[in-house]
Amino acid sequence: MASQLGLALLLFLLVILLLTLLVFRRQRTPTLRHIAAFEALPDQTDRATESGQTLHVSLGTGGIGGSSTVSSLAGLSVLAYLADQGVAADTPPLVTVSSPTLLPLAQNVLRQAYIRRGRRGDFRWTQARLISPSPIAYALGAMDVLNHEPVLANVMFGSFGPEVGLIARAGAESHLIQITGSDDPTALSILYASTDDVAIGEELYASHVYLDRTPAGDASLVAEDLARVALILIVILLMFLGLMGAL
Amino acid sequence: MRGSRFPILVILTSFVLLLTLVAYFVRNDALLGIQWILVKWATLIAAFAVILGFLNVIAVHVGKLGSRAEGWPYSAVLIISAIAVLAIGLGGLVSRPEEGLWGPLMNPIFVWIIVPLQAASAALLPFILTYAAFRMLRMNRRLAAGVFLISALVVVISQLPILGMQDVLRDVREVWFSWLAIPGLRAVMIGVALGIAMATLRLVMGIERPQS
Repeated sequence: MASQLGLALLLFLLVILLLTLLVFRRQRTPTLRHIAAFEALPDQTDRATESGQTLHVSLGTGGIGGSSTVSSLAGLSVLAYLADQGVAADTPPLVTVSSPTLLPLAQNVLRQAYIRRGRRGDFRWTQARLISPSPIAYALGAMDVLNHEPVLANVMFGSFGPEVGLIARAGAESHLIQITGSDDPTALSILYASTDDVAIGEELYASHVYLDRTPAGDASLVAEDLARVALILIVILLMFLGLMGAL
Repeated sequence: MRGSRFPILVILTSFVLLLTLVAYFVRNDALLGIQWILVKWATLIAAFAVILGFLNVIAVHVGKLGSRAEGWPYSAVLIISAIAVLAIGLGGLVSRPEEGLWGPLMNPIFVWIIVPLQAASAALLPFILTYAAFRMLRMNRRLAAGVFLISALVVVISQLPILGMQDVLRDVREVWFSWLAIPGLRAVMIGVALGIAMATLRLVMGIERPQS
């Protein structure tokens, strides 16, 4: 039953996505709703350029190959954007990861940014660092980076648990601007209370589309919003049917 | 991640993703077999990633040691610890292969050193959350901060052993959770599920190309 529901949801989304792609192929690009976390990122890269300092980018405690794959990919999209900007201004981000599966990807994203700028030789593999596969140990290592490395802001996008509170605390102690995004409710409650801008839940997965705008990507977000409205209507309908005793 | 120069990678990713996805919904032995082979490949790649990760940790801290960066003695301790634990693990594996990595030396390292250290660090979290609540009050989120604070007070006060009021406090907590907290949590989770499904479709259709 659960797998049939999942398949139905995917097919439903696919139909809406195809329709939206058709509509926006002919019309102009849609206006996306504001997500403060993504809008704040360019300011931080500008500040980094002016000050000559760098940004700390945390890709969370998740990795590739498990339930946190999508959120880790979203974190990599944010890293790709910041790496492009940072390498151009000679202030490449300092990246930390917890999962070994994410390390080669983060290094590759950074390396690609250098290659695009024609500076392949300047890339160093240690610009992306593995701290520890254990969430608490990772948080302690990231705290050390924030406390002792010359970073201007703390950017955290990916899969996190309650241990993110330790990192956010270190960022606050160092008076850093903190821009974050997560899909875990516990981590979200901590991040919302302790950081400046947060991408909440599914907003995290929109990072690629927001930071690398394409008509197809924009259409997919419009499709997602339409699907959300449809689901809300279905929930309200089922609630009324339940109240009336029809279910 | 912008503009693919490797369309073959995009096609391959879409194919593998679709194959794995379909295997979840359609019960077919051939598909499950292919899915199992892909999982084994992924496990092998992850094993190599662990080796790369270890080398990365050592390289970062050797660099700190070499440049006498702030906190370099800690880097020295880390390198010595990492090599010692690796030697103990491999030594145990060679001498008692039937026990795997969890030999008589490795087990105490985890039980008596790593676990207590992590538990001690995790015990800081409640204090950090309290600090986060106060920090939030200082930021410009008055309504949200108010709701956050009220929620925290409801949870804390409703668990206090105030004589004669336990039932009332428990009811307040139940109402707060079942009418506000859990619906909010479900809304976030529904949004997350939708977001994951749409991100998957973007990857399958090549709209999002993290591999390029």
